[in-house]
Amino acid sequence: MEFLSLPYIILIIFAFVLYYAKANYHWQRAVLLLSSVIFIGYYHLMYLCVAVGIALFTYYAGRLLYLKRGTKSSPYILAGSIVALAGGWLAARYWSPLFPLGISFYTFQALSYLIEIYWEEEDPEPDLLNFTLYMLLFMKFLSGPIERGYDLLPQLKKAHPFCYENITYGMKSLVVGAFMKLVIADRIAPFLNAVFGAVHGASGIQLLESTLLYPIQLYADFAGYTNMAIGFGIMFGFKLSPNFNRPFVSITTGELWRRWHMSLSFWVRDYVFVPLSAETRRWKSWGIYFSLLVTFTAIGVWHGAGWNYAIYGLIQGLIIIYETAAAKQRDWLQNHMLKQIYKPLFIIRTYLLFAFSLLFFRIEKMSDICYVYQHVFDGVNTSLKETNLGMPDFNWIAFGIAVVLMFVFEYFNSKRDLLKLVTRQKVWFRWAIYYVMIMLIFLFGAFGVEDFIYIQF
Amino acid sequence: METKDNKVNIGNKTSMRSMISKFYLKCVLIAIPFLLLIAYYVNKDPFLVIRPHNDYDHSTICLDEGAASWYKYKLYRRSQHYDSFIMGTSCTMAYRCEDWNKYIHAHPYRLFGNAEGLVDLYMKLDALDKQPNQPIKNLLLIFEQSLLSKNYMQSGPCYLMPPDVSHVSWLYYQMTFLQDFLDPLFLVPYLKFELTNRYEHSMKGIINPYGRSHFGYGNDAIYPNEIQIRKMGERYWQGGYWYKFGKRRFVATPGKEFSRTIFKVQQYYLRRIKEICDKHHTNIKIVIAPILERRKLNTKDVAIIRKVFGNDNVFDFSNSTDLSVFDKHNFYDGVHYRTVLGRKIIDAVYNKKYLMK
Repeated sequence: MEFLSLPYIILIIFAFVLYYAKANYHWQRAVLLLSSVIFIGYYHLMYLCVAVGIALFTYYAGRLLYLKRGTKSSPYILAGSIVALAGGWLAARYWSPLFPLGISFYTFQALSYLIEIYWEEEDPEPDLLNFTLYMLLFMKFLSGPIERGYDLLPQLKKAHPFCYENITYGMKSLVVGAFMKLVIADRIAPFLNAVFGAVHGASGIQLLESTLLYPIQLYADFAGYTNMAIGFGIMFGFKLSPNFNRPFVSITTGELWRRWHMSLSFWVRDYVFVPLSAETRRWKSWGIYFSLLVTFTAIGVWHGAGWNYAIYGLIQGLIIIYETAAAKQRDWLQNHMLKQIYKPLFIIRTYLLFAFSLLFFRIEKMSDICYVYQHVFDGVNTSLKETNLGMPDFNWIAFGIAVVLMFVFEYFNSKRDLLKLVTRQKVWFRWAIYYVMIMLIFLFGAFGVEDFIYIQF
Repeated sequence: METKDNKVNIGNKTSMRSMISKFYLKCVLIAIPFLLLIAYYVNKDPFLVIRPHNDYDHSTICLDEGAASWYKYKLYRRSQHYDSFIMGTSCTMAYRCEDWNKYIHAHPYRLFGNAEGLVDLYMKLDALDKQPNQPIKNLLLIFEQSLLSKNYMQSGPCYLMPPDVSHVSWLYYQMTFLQDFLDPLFLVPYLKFELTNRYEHSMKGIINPYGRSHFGYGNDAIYPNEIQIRKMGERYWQGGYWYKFGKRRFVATPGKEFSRTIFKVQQYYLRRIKEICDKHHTNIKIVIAPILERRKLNTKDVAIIRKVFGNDNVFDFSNSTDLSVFDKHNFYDGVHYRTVLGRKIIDAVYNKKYLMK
């Protein structure tokens, strides 16, 4: 049951109507729990059993950690819990014939919850139902954001009365997400899939074009999903964490990772990089480099069972190590170059590095990845017409305009909340915008093309 | 105090309820125009894709012929026991099942598509192969440069094949047509025609002004230009379309050939077509269509096709030595030719009368 499917729309309508039928905490929690159970169980009953099992394990492990705080057994309990959770996740990832959807996201959520209790930054949640809802909440279950307990749990402990402004704001966020997913990501997806699925049949120019377009597809897909998740959250009175902050304006790969899949980046920063670099601080710079390499390889491995993912993470780590080591030279360049030249140059450099490293993320077979690197500058097979990748010209124009619109929207939205600005406009103008947006999605969106890319993680 | 609190609560509840009602009302108001249009679309089904129809030969609009001929095939396959197929682009209009049947004595059907590509053709053949109890005894494939150059499955409302052929999801398939319906470039002329029932030039390419476009169980073509030729005689090749484009487009370029078209992907699909034919012991004939300007298919491409399907099964009319093939009276325009030439080609193919090298 994905966000843009008919069963999900029916579920969300029922859940929404029931949720606000009574502004009562117990009632609303029951509606959300039931909706989450239906949402997960609809995919596969086993997914629900695994998710509930992990939630129960984490809940009781958290209670035990709290009880044993300050004792000698406490680190062992934490280590045992981490081994059990990470082991379960690894087993599901590498050996299970059925990979439970969302497990990477909620396992990381469970790990952060336990570590925070161990560090005495947080107390365990006393109410089992609240905790289960924190783990299973349907809007963020499949692909995050990876929520921290101290952010989400307090929000689950109170009633959420009907708030017209919030609900309409959430709906606007939904529309923005749907636009990104349907008009941009899904529009280009079948054509990029055709190229990456049979790289030997594509010409050099098609490989180059697909390599350069893939980050945009991935971004529109995942950020579109996140906008929708955040929108659904707001409609039910929750504030979920943002996952993206205009990553393609980054001038370094390090900055890009502070703007890309932020809930994962910050998770590994807090629970892998910071403890590791603290442990290796006597190695000075080498300790930092080592920690960076381990952290980014962990990010790569998080994505999947395959050397390609590990290499993808490793490449990110190596680039960031280089950037850290060459920080002085970069500062010198920044001081001696015109800002108008330096910034675009480094933005393009960062984008290109990211795009070419993403090949390890997108293509599973190493031989195919090598083939792309070898032939990406081979030029054209027949004529320049093949640059359309089989997509009709009209769709290219619509796709191009949509991408520009997305970046322009994000630019102005970073200066001022455009969704709130719309709310303050006159009614005829607001409604015109709503109709135009819905029409644009209807006319130019590609429906039923494929699932969200990050659903597989 | 208690009474006062209760009143406040009741007041809050009332305003909350009115707010919720207002919200739901606005949602319905936003949805109404779309729901009305969708209801109209579902009721009319102008693309003939939502539910099965009894007639795919007449339609108000210019159809996705690939989908329409597939649906028509499915409608009659049980009663007509089709076992032989003519496949290719709209150029297949020159080949009548009746003419072909004189040589094969079977149950032929013309399964064509608008500007069909090689991958579309393969997908259709593959779908035929997967139909239960579907023999493929004879196959007449009409190849041309534009068909061979497309190394991808075509999308969009003019080309997309039904889900059982294209393997796209049902939702994607239906949304493709619904989106085209909602596109003002389609919707406005369509609604105008529905209201006035009068064809205007601005409706060209959207509304079908001729009524019937194919006929019979074999799905033979009715090309409206044939009626024009009957009316106008020799004047057809002098005025209008021919006068306008005569000098610019149809200058004969004998000996000139297209650049290479068949690469790895095309070779892959040609081999897959051959595999299906081998599985069904199909008697396959491949016609490389002539075009008026006498530009031939690339020699290396022809050699590849011959290598895959065998020398005796490939007939390159783009390089015909019989110049009467390229007589303009055989053509409706630069690429579409008449049944008179189609008959001649079928005869040449099956009686081994070599109109080509």
